[in-house]
Amino acid sequence: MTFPKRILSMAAALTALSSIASGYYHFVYFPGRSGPFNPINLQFDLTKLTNNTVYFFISDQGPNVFVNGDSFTAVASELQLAAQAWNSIPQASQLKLAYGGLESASTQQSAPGIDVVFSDDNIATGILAQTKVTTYANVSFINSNTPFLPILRSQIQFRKNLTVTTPQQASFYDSSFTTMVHEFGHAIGLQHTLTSATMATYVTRSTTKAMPLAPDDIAGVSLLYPTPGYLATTGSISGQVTLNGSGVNLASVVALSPTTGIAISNLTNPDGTYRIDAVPPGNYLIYVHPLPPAAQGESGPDAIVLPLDAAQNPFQPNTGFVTQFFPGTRDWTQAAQVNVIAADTVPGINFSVQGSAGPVVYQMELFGAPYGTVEASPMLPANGSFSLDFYAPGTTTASNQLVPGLNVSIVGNPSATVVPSYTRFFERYNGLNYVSLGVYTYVVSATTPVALAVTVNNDLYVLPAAFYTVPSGPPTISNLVQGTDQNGNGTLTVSGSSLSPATRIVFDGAPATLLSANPDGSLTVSAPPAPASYVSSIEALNPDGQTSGQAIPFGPPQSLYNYNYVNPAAIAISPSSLAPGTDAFIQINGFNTNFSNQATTVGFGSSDIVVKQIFVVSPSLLMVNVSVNPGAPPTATTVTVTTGLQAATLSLGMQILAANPSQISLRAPVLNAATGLSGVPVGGTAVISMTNVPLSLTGWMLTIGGQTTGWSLVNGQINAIVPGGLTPGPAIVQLTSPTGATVPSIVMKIDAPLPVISSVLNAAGVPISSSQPAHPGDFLTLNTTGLSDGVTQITTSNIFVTADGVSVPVIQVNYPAIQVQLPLSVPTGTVPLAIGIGTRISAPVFLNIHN
Amino acid sequence: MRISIHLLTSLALVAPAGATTLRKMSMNDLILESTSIVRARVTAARSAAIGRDIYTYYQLQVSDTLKQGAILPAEIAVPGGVYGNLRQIGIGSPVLAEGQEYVLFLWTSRSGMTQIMGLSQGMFNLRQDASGATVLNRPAISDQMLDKSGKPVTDTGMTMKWSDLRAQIVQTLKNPSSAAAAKQ
Repeated sequence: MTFPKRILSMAAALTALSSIASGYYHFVYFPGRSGPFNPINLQFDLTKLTNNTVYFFISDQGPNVFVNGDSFTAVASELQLAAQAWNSIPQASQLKLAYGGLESASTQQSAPGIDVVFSDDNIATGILAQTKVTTYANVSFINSNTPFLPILRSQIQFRKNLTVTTPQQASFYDSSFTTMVHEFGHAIGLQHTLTSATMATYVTRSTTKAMPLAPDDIAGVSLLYPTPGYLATTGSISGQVTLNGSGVNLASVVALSPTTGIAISNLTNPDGTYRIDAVPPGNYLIYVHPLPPAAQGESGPDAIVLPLDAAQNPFQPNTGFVTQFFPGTRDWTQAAQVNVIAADTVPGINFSVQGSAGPVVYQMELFGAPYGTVEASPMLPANGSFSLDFYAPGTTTASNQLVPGLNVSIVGNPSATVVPSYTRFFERYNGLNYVSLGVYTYVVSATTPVALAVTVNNDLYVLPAAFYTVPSGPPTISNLVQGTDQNGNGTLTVSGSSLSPATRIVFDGAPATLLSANPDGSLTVSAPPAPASYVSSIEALNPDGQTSGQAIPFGPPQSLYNYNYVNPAAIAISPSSLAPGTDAFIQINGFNTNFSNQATTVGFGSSDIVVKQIFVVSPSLLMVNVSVNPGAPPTATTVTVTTGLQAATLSLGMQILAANPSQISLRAPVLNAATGLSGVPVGGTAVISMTNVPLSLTGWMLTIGGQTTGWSLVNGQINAIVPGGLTPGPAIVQLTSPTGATVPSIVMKIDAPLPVISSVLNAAGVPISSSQPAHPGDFLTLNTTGLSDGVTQITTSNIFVTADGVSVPVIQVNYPAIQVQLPLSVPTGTVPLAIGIGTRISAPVFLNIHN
Repeated sequence: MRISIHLLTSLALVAPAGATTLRKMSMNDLILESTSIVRARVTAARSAAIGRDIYTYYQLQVSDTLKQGAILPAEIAVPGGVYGNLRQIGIGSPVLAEGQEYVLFLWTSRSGMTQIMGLSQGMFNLRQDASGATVLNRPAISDQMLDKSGKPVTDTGMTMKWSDLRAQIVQTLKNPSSAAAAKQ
């Protein structure tokens, strides 16, 4: 049944969305100890970041003992891939993580960032990884209007000896990767959840290297760093959890889709009220469950850091109640479905729970072996029958029987069913009692999480993604053939099963570029650059969440690529010092390097130095614009240039100078006055922002690419004409005082001449004119010249077309002919139509468009 | 039905991955692998910063030393705490109560920092049972635990008479090779 939903007015809904009151499993503060409770979360302050980007740095003192086949290069590469997981949801989260290179412990920093360190000295026996989040201690100032508290710094700690834990920690294990993603989640402000997401603790987590985030993770991060408009595409659920009339603190409320299997959760406030936000529209079953009890000494159940008030006093959790579905049933088949629609809240989903001594059944872990190797939270192919084994406290007796009344069922979800009467006590193994379960799987079009409900006479337990039903099997790699392309760069042809153009091939975490999908099903990829004599493991990651590594969770890498590079990569930089509060250009010369537009990143080992623009001039030359935080302390930093697996490092090679508050600075990027974009063609007007502009610039000289040019100062900005004779690419902008003193120079991008639309034809090949007007919805062909700049690929995704500011979809590229389709919303009349690629936009042609 | 009835024989291969994955330590593990074992009361707590890390140091009033290493710790460090105007949250860190008496199995790193073994595994409350005897008690730990071969195991907690523990420690330390062999 569907629960009748009270429709709120749009105004009320928008008010709710503009003041997010949900805590999710964030690090939470409340101003006082009485309601109303509006959580104040810990998060990075986006206003303190450039381009909403948090840099993470990897300690230059990496692990020193590795599993066979592993290396610091591989660890660093996998960490970069793990961080990318949090960048993979740009529709939901504004926050971006970027690799800031290797970091020296001696580098002093003042801006927010994330440090990844390796140490065995201060990590207790048995812990694989640990994250610490730092904020202000004195929060007495918080009140109901405080939007958030800032994360000042986060630290992720791994072991230095990766062989001392059981099992060992090889970076090529999929499980090591999901741990890395999990720790980055903590570092940006997420706590543990119990919905099988990445932020779930180990026992209930079921994400994979190919599917690193679950909907609950996306909801959690989108509440901290929402993109404009995202939350309006989702809905909310609110209510209260009470026990004998009193609010229950830190109860976990979960919205579980009975059709898609996705689960989104939140924790209750101290008065039992809750809101689950960022819920994709659809029907949901709602249940509330207690957190697993706190272990002795832990600060909270499930290792949750308890909410604090302004005086730093914690709000204690209540775990003494029985799980139930809404409305008040332990039988999910009797539960109401709640319909969530976008930009709306379903209120009144209240629970009056029954007290207990705590959860009887919890921490279920389920195993299967669909391909002969045991997997936790297995991915089961469609149209099959499988025997699964699980253990969970409270499901068996000391006399090796199922507890009376035990029933296991699949919650909703047409993708699988439990085989009737098959559930049985399996055996006692290693001190644990296991239960066997039989399931059938059905045809699915996409990977579908399947939730299990375990009921006993006095408790209910739900595991949201106990296993998955998948359309087909995982990718496998059966053969590798190394080769070279026409430029002598390494290639690899990967043969196996379930490989497709959508398969990602990674070399120790470094993505390879697909060169061709071959008729025999194999894939040929370019090998990312690597250190001299490097041997990389190869893994295939499919969009359905399956990986070629899942079958060998703890084995040595089965697929290897041997590099034949001989000499190590190295770099030199100029200049080697920077002033706080300035932008500046750094030239980086590489030796034995393979710089490329697609894969090269530059890091300065400090959150006080932000990389604004990278220009790849050649495989051995970079020009980089950076910006130095005005508050940066004097210190030395390490420069790292990474291309694929190849990292060239200059240890403590950059010096941040003492601050000079009156230092004049040019600001990157230089913009085109005509387009507002960061590329200007010869003859165009460049707009150069400045800080600490002198009262008079009389007698000062400006050069672009070494040529003097005409310029003027307008509202504190320099408007300069890009002189003739410059070739497309980066050009140095230099401002010199009458005394010959120079301001730190920056680099601007000289664009190739602008593209031109030479004619526009309709589908019949007739030119558009007043007598042959175009119509909304028409397919048109734009004949162009000058689209290519020699660097940017001419693809549908790189080209943009606008009609009086309205985006016109590019359908096909057959350069120089570009096919587009006018949207139905296109303006009519005589409409300016322009085509662009990168920072280059054509002059408009005027098109007759009639309804 | 496609049956994988002998899954359990392969459980050693199952992945652990988590922020706080612990190795389950037996009492003999705790005795042999610790650098010191003390019965102590927490008398005070302070915080300090070491580099970028903040630790909460709990001062101990040791009433009994059951195993003494090169250093007898007067305090133990737990990640996280408040230092100046900074609060560092150590996710999953144990919290000790001032005035509470514990039996602590401790591990001192080469740098001299002393911590509780296995997060909470090496930390026992002391209480009186119905007969008036002093017993150690540690509830089950909720974090994922593995045995030495990597198999997931459930912690069942531990209760033991103080006098029995003393005897076991003496016996284990007197003959560690047999104790280790007995664990295999």
